[in-house]
Amino acid sequence: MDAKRYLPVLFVLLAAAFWQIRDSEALPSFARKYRTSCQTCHTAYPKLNPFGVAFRMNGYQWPGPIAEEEGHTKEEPVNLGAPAYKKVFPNAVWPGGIPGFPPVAFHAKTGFTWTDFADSSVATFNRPSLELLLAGTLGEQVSFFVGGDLFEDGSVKNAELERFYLQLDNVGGGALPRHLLYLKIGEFIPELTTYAIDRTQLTQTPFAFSTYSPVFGESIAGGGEDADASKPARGALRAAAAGPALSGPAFGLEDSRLGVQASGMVRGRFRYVLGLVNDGTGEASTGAKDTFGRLSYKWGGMAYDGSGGSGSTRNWAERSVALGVFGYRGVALNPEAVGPRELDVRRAGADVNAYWDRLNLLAGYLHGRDELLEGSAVRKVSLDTWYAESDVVIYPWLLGIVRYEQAKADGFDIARRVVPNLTVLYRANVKFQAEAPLDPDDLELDTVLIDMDFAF
Amino acid sequence: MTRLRAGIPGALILAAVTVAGASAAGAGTITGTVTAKPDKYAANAVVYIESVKDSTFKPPAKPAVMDQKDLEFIPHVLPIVAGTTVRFENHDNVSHNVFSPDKCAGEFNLGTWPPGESKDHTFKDAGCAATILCIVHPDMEAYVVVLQNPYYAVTGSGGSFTIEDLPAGKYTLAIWSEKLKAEPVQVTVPESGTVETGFNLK
Repeated sequence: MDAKRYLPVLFVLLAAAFWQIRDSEALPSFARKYRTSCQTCHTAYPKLNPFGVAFRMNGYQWPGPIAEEEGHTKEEPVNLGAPAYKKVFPNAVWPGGIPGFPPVAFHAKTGFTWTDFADSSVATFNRPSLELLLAGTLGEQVSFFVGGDLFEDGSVKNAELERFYLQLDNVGGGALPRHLLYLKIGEFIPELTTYAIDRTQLTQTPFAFSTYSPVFGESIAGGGEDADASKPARGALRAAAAGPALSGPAFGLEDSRLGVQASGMVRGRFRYVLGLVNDGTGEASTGAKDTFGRLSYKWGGMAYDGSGGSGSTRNWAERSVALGVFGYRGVALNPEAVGPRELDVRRAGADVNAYWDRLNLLAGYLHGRDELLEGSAVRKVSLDTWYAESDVVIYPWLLGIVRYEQAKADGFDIARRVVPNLTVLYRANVKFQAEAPLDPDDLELDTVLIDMDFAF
Repeated sequence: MTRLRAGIPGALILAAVTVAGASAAGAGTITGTVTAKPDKYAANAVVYIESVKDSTFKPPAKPAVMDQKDLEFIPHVLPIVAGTTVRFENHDNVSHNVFSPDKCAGEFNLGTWPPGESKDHTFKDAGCAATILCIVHPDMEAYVVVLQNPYYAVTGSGGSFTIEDLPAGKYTLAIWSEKLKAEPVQVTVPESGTVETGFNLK
């Protein structure tokens, strides 16, 4: 039995499983608020351009002094208290505000998948999904985000709230330097990777960097009589040929977490992230708390606070390099009936995000160590993942993307793939994509994903 | 009696003052435009002569009026000469309150009163920009700008202003805005005729 035959199946299964989980932050409500096109903040939604990154990091407000936010807002907010009421505090509630219109946006998508198996091919139109997004500000120093699937895979019963947080912006007012401290409270995706920060992921196929867990290695383990003897057997994850399979929680860096995240900038170019969240299990929590952190620095281009960046002839083009390091330490709930209740999860990595005019290069390396179960015994399994991606703006409405990524568990290849993608912006808020994840060993086309989505 | 005309229709402020001890009423005019970023702050700024030396200006006998209607103070900005009494009226259909948290205005609270009634407060100290709030409706806000002399104007929606009947001389022309700032400028007012200037609020 040739394990390679099942790789397309794995790609399809994982793409189908994760293409809905990938969260969008394309927010037409901001287009309405500022009477501006999506292209002000997005290269191609959800991917943010440098200004969009600064807007997001500033709590979904126009970067720069408060006057910039006021001057660019076309939909006047409703003041909950005149600004002068700040003088009355603590003898009155600090004044705030709400959006002048309901900041509601929708993101709808469907598509088409073609998969070629060894002895047949399957072509299917995908069931649609509809995502609800609400985001905005509640006065000068409070912002919020609520997002989730109303319909997933064509059914309302799969609806799920995925992000729900309040963010206190520029905490400390005049007592602390501007941009030094932002506090996010609720359910959110930890800002660990460079693409989690600027929503770079345009491909339908999620980053293995975030989604692969050593436990997946077991699912495609190709040990057995048809294993390729010239290569280390993927089945080496098993303790022995006849040993039990590995099991345990599948930890994902991009899974939403419940907790609190502090972030901030120093001089606009150095950024930190620190977080404390429920354990990395998902729905059921052990009660333990996970911690994570990230440090990054950007040279050139527009700084994280929106300063600099003059001279660019296109808002999606600049010349810059950002380097980041990050780490995650926590536990996950053991889903099995045997073994300890909690299993350790560790991740550490580094990434780079570089722009050279219309070319955007990203790369990252991640090392992890997870406790998994081998039968009833705990086994520590290492994970090493890396990726390199190139995004090219061919025309402002046409982007070409190609990503190479690789995952290893305990030194053995779990998966390698090349993900080429062509993204077409039919309109600023209507997008078509064609993508074909490939096995780099044979580059044989056996899966094609066609996506259509729009936001309003 | 010196008559002042401010800005353009939409923010006209008329003030009748009696000038005592000052030089004879002049015929000079200062005119100009205020710009601001964001644009909306170009309106409702007070452009004024900082100080007319060796002069005393009596406040008017008749109170200046600030009304409350449709949950708004009208006008939003009211410049007055120090010592002027402001009558706070209520022509709304709900009760209103007037108070100021500013020390320079005496941190007063006039209480709450029903429609049809009014209460007075005298603003004594020049140089005070008193914030006027309503404790019943926290979204209501206005300003009383207390000045040394009656040579002032409130900018209209386009930012323009005109100050008339100025005696000739050199003056420091300043600007007050509820949110932004600009440095004062020096102006020389002729015996008769107009001098033009402007401000850029940031």
